[in-house]
Amino acid sequence: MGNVPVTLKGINGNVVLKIDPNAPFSDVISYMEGLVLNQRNFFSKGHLYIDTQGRVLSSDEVSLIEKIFSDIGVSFRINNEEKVYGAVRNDNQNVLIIDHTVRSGQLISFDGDVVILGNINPGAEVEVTKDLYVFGAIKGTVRVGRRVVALAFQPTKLQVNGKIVDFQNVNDRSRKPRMIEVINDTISFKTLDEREPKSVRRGKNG
Amino acid sequence: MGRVIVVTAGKGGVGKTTVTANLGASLAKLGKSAVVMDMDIGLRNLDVVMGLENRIVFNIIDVINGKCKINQALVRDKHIENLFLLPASQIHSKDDVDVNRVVDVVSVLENNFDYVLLDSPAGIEKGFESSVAPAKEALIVVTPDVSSVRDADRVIGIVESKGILSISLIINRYDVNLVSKKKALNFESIVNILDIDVLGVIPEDKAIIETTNMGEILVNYLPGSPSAKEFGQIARRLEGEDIPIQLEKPKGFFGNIFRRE
Ligand SMILES: Nc1ncnc2c1ncn2[C@@H]1O[C@H](COP(=O)(O)OP(=O)(O)O)[C@@H](O)[C@H]1O
Ligand SMILES: [Mg+2]
Repeated sequence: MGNVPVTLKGINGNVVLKIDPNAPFSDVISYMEGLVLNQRNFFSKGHLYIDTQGRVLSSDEVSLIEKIFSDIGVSFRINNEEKVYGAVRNDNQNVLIIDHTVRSGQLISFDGDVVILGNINPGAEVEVTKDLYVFGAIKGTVRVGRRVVALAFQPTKLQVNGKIVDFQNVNDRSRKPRMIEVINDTISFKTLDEREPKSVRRGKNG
Repeated sequence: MGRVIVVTAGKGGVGKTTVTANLGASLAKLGKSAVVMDMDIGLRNLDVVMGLENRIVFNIIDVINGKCKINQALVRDKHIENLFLLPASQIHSKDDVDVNRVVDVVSVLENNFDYVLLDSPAGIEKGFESSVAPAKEALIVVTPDVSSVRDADRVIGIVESKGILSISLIINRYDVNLVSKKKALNFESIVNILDIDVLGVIPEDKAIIETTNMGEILVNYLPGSPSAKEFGQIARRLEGEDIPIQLEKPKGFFGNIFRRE
């Protein structure tokens, strides 16, 4: 096969689109349009990483790409000279969004905050220097720097700021969304509804 | 262009070869042309399950080494006109196989068949690589036990990382009686962990072992058996039909309700 201007790869469950740094940009764009037409199911996960492989894109070029993917409702992220474009643009905060379950054997290690739309399965490991928000259940091994929020906790191992969280000692073991963090050197477990101001108007029936 | 689907699991003995043979046959019965490829180089057994071992002349390694053309190596099924086997070689090891050449062979096949099913070996080493590399879709076979589910989860992650995003699940050897006694994982907890679409649930069925030992494919020999019917439905679901999954009721369901303790 000759050089294609754009290659599509799945890496750790993310779709990564690599742009040939030397191909003419018009080829890159028409190839992407073709991919969107023909490989639509490839993009069904709704999030894409674009690797420019060192090529620096002008803002016009970026908006052309933005147009292609916003038309089909797919968010994406380009690392372009330190600047990050796309739907998950974050200028001064380092956030990694993973829109799928983290599976056995997968390791995610990130300097910043991580949001996971899915579970952390047994045998998976997630290591985050700041906060971890899991829209799912934690069943694997997790280490966070500051705090962790999840819809359910059945972790293999959970460490917050270096401290091991022992679930045997948790009184209320019901499967509730919680936030766990270290405050003044002790581990605090709060169910999320504890933190929520109770609605004043909620009557007996609701 | 045909569809290229790898049948894989991570764990051995969960039914990859059984699923490959029966699904290939079921697709062929729907009028599709199908070729099943044995990627368990060195330990071939798809030919045995199909009862074709004494019709083999050439194998995939011969094709790769230029000893023969692909169509010379294909073995037609005993009963079904449009089902073919591309056999593995017993004398080579998985390390003798160049992944890129396997991809080349598959790309010829996918231009000539509606379906190419790759029966992958156990493990996630070389043989697994060369069965996943040519595939565009994956079927993960899992049995209702914790270790099989854990291995499947791992394999799904690896398969996704290879760029295959169309992945579905086949739950095999599902025994509703064991499940109701909580001696096997139930459907919901398997799906809960693996979080992918389920294409079918094949019951535990003695007929599978019996027909395998006779060198007959179950769906040919006992098309009326519960597992053969489910294979037929899996084939139709693959073809895009919307057929809901129905789990069997445990035996003695009413008996349990009315029996006095
Ligand atoms: N649904 C089933 N019910 C009963 N036995 C089965 C079923 N599926 C597979 N088997 C048996 O399990 C054994 C292993 O199956 P096989 O397909 O060779 O697994 P694998 O290819 O994953 O190693 C075989 O003896 C087969 O007949
Ligand atoms: Mg096998």
